[in-house]
Amino acid sequence: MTSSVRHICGISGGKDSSALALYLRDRVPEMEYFFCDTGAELPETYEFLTRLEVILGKPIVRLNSERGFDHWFEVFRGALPSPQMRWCTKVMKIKPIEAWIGDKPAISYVAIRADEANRKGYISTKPNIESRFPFVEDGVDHEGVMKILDDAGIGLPAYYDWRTRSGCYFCFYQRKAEWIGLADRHPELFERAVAIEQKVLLDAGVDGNADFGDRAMAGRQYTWSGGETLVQLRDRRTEILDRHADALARAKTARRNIPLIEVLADAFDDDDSAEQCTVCAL
Amino acid sequence: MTTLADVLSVRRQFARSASLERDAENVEPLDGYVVTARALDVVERVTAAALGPAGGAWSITGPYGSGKSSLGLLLDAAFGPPGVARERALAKLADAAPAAKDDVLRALSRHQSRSAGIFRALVTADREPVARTVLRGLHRAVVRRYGRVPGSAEFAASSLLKLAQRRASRAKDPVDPSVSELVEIAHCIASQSPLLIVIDEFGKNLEAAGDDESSDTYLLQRLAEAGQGTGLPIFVVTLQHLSFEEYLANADDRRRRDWAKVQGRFVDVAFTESAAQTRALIAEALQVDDDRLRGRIDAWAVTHAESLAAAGVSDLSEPDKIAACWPLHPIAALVLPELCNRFGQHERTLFSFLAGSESGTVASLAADIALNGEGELPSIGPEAVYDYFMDTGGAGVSTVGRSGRWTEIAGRLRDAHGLPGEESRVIKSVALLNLVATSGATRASASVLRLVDPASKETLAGLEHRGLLTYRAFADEYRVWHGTDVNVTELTAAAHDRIADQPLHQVLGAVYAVEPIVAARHSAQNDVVRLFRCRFVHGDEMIDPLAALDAADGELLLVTSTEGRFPTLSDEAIRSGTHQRSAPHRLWRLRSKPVVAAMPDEVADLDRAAREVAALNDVLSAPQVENDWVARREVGERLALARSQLEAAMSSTYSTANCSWTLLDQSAGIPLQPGRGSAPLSEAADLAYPDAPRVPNEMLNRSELTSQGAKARRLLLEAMIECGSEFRLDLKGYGPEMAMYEAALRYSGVHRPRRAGGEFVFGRPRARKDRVSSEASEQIEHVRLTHVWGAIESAFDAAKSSRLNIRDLYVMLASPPYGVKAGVIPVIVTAALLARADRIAIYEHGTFQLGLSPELSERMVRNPGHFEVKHFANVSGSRKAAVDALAAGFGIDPGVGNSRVGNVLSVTRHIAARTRRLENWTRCTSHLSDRALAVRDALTEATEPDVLLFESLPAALGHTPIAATAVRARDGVSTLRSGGGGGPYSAFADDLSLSLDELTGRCRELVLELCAELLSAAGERARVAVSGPAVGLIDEVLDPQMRSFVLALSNDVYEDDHDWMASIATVLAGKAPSEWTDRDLAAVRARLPQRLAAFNRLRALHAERRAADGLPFEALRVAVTDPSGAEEARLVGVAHEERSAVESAVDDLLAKIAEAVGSPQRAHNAVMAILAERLLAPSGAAHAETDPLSAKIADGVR
Repeated sequence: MTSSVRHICGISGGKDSSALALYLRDRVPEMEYFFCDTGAELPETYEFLTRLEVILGKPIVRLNSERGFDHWFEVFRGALPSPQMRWCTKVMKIKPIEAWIGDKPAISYVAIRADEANRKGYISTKPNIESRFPFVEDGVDHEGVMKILDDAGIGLPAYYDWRTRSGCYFCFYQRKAEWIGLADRHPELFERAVAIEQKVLLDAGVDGNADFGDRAMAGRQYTWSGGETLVQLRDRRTEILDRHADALARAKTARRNIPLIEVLADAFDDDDSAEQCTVCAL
Repeated sequence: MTTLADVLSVRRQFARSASLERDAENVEPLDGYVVTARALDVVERVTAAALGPAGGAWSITGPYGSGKSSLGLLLDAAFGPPGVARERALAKLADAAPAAKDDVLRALSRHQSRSAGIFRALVTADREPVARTVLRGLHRAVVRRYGRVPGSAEFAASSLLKLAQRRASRAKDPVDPSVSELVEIAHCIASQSPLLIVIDEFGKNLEAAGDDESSDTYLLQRLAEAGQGTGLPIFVVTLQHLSFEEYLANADDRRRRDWAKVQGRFVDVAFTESAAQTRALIAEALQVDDDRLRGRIDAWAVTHAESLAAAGVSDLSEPDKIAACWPLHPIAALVLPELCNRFGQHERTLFSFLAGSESGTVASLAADIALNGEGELPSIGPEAVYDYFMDTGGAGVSTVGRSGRWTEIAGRLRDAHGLPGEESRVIKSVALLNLVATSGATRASASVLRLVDPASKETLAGLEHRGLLTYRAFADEYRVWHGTDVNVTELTAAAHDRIADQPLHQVLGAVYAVEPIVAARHSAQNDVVRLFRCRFVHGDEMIDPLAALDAADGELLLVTSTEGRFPTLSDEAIRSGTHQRSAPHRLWRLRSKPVVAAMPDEVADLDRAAREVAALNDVLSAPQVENDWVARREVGERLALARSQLEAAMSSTYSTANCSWTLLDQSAGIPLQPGRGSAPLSEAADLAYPDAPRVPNEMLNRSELTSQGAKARRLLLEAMIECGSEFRLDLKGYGPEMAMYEAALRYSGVHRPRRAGGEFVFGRPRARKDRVSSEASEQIEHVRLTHVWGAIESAFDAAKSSRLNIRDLYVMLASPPYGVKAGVIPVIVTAALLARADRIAIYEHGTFQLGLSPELSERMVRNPGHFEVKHFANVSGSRKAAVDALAAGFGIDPGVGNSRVGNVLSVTRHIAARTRRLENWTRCTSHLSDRALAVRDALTEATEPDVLLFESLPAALGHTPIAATAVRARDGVSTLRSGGGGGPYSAFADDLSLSLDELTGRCRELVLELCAELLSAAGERARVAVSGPAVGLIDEVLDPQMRSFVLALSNDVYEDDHDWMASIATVLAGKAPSEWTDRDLAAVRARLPQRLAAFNRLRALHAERRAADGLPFEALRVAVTDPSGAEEARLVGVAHEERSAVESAVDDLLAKIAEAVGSPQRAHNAVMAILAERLLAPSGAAHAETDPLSAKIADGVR
């Protein structure tokens, strides 16, 4: 294999990119798989990646593993990312990917399905990268993706039970009900997110917690989720879950006979933002 | 109807600009000319000179329109030949001063020129050399006398003049006459009759002279001298707007000096008129021809004079002067001179207004004003002046500089057009007075305005009521622009009262931000910027010194009391300790940053200025002022003034000479020498930072790096960590990181080859052998960095029993006596950490780290307080023996020199590096040996390397802990020699190695065990025997769980059995083996036989069906490795019914080949090689697939 063109496929930890990796396993033998590790992914994601790696029989290169979120949080001394200042995407996703790809010609395979052809993923602006969309080209839709995953015996990442997307446990794009899901499934991560919201990194000082409260934007209360702190959000647990159930029901009546995972994706609460991070969710 | 025009004649001095060439010998311009006092003065000077023994030279300087050209014409006519022009000129002179006419005539007689006049060279200069101008003038003078240039019999210099004229006027390459030629011509002329040279617009000659080099200066000098001393009657008059120097502003110094010398030969005459003189000129210009009016005018004048006197206007309070200006209203006469000077072209504008024929002038207005036989005399009031100037002058105003007020007033009045007569008259008078008012009584006060309109009080009230006028009480003046009711003075006084009790340092603190001061001399000498932050103190405070990591290097206290007390340092400053490392004679040894107190001799001015600014600030924020822009502007102007006064007071109060300076210490303080500028601060910095290393890099050696600088430093630190053993850290190019490297690490010898030509290391600074310098400054530089380095090493050495926080190290380095800048500290600290990498353990967030990495360094730079270090000296005795045994067991490469192995850290790092990526399963499983489990626990719990190596791990492995005491190696033999091998601790090392191998390899082993279990359950020996048949079953299976199992079995992309089995196990558990728990393992062990049994059943079923299809075959997996190492694998097979045919063909073939190559064995080998090459090489693949059976097999694989 002496071809000078690299073939790369990014794995997000979600179902589509995993299915694409499996789909291309035999089609593009020289494929290089990569995953941008923020160091703050859900445990389910890490577990799923190992699973995928074993099935693929090839390593998935972990980019950025030396400089994850905690690193940047300390370097930026408590300046938190937000939809307005999304440094997380820049320093933990785009920069490491572009550094890893380098300047050699490369073909990037993007996991956009045939039934969502108008979605935009991370499509690099670097001139040496050519993007391909095998699912779109071959007409692989949601059902096709599920079949690929089933055949491989890999199943879905476990977070799909309560969350619609992979990404950091504190992703500011996640929905209120997903925050509750985090509090239920991973209380320790929820506590960590609560601390970060107050510009405190747990177990990170010299022997305790690192408090950056008097550094970045001192005196300004940051909130991960619009309009309320995580503590306030958790106090509204029942209300949020009720509203979420209503939204689920509404989404279900709107379309019949669809899998739960799709219902979840469509069920926005009134106070959720429909935005999402195009890079992380890819 | 009788009008004013019938009784008034207006003399015209110059209605339009005069031209010497055009208007000479023209009588008309002289008609209306009024000889002003200063014109008379010039004529008298020339006349006096002509009556004397020789000539003279004058330079007349005056603004545009002041009548300079007309003066030239007057001189020309007066000294010309007899005729109408001379008569007219002499009559004018006689009018002004009767003696003047007689003197001129006497002067002409003295030179026998009364019949023909003198030679008059009148010329207007261009932007050209003086010689050219003078030649033109002389030529003209001669032609005017003779009608042409006469022959040489009549005029001796005739041919010379003609030649010069010809040369100068030819079209191609004209040549200006030389100085000597011109002087000769002038002499020749003057020897016949006096010569008067008048050069108008002489400034243009001067501008040309400023442009290029020429001998002009010399010519002027010679001409001027010609008229002096030698007795030749040459009179030179130059007319210009500015002084010589101003024209020559752009010329070089030498030329300016030359021209200054020339000007020295001339008598300067300033051609400007005072307001009173201008009014005299007005009086001259306005002549009342009807003597019957005289009485009425006088009475009118007396009344107004009284009013003016009452209003305090002394400029125009004499009745005869008021009378002389009739029909101008006295207020109009009062403002006209200033108005013409400010907004017009002086007399030219004045006479345009008085005598011009266009509408709005006095002359034209007079024709429309009726003059009754009795009653009050009519007059031309200020409103007429205003109208005239607005109509004609407004356009030209923008060039005059004071257009702001003009535009504002004109704009406001335009907006208020259509006012009834009285109001219009009054408001225009106010506007006019506003325009010229500076100070004094000539302002729009009620009493002055009464002169314009006796009933003005009511009119003013009406205008004020409608917002067209405002009355400003503080100035006693009506104004056309907006006014304010806010009493600023009163508010300011109240504000003063409010702050009266506030101490001065507080007042100053609020109103004056003192910029930090650079200790200039010290900074320049030490290649570093030392900043002192400044603040005001009263003088009796306790002072906390600046924090060590503050960006400033010290503090300057500006004391505001003059009682001789100065602040004292707080206990905290004293507690921070003293440094002993310095020479005993050093005066100042505190470790806290220096604090200097400046005590002024006098603060009264400062106090006054500061309180004024504070009070005005206060007034400015008062609500009534905030809402009133006029008041705001007034306060703003006052505030600007007050601020500049405060600025001045600050610089004088705290100038070095007016203060005494003290560096505060534990006792009475150290007096500092005042010196110049920031000298005392430099002295303080010298005392405080004697050991500051010199880092000649401005980008790095500072408190806060720029983003560029921070990036360069990050690259430098990264290179230090990753390429420390390389020449110049393997940095390429000459970017800022290279400059930083050179300044901080290379010249100091901190980064150097271990030995000549060897690899590079970091270490204690030392003078580079190739750069031995005898210069004292470099010696000092080197010594200082050695001190800093020594301080870091001491701190490391002291951190043996307890950890040292990196931030404390930063604090020490930033403090006296080192004062290392925050930008440099990380570089030096990193170098020191790398130099001692084998002995210094780094902890982040309390956790042991494998070593410095770029990302860890990035975090350390930002949050040094999150890091600690601890020193692990090379151990001795039994511990050394143990460490050596472990190192040998792990195969750690023994280094050389300082990093010689045998230390705790390299062994610990080896263990940590091996075990830090243990699988999750290994971390939690109980399927490990007891020893491996115990080692795992020890690794998980240990935080200190020495505790781990010498206590926890021996205990885990059943060995005796290794004591820290210096037990001789021999002594330990009895307790630890449990097995054979080299040393007393080799058994411990062996046990540990085994356990680590188990920990790191067990997970893989487990998968291989499962693989063996699978194959045995399937009754096969190779995975190909399972995966091959599985291929054929894929389409037979519908159950999803079974299907993914079969797919996993069939998958042949994996390198080895482990990877194949791992994927099968992952499918079985829904989790990768590395993520398993023991429960997952148990589940897999239970499921595997069940699924395999199902698989075997499926396989049997399928084989039967295949037999029925008539195409049974057995498959083999063949793998071929080519010389490059690439492997190609394939399933191959032969159908049963074809088998005997193929076998007999192969037998024949092999027999044939055996014959050819010599042995059956070699034949087998050869055939295998050729077949492998042909069938399995990529080129053979396509060929193979054309065969249906092969294709079927190949499909199965894929």
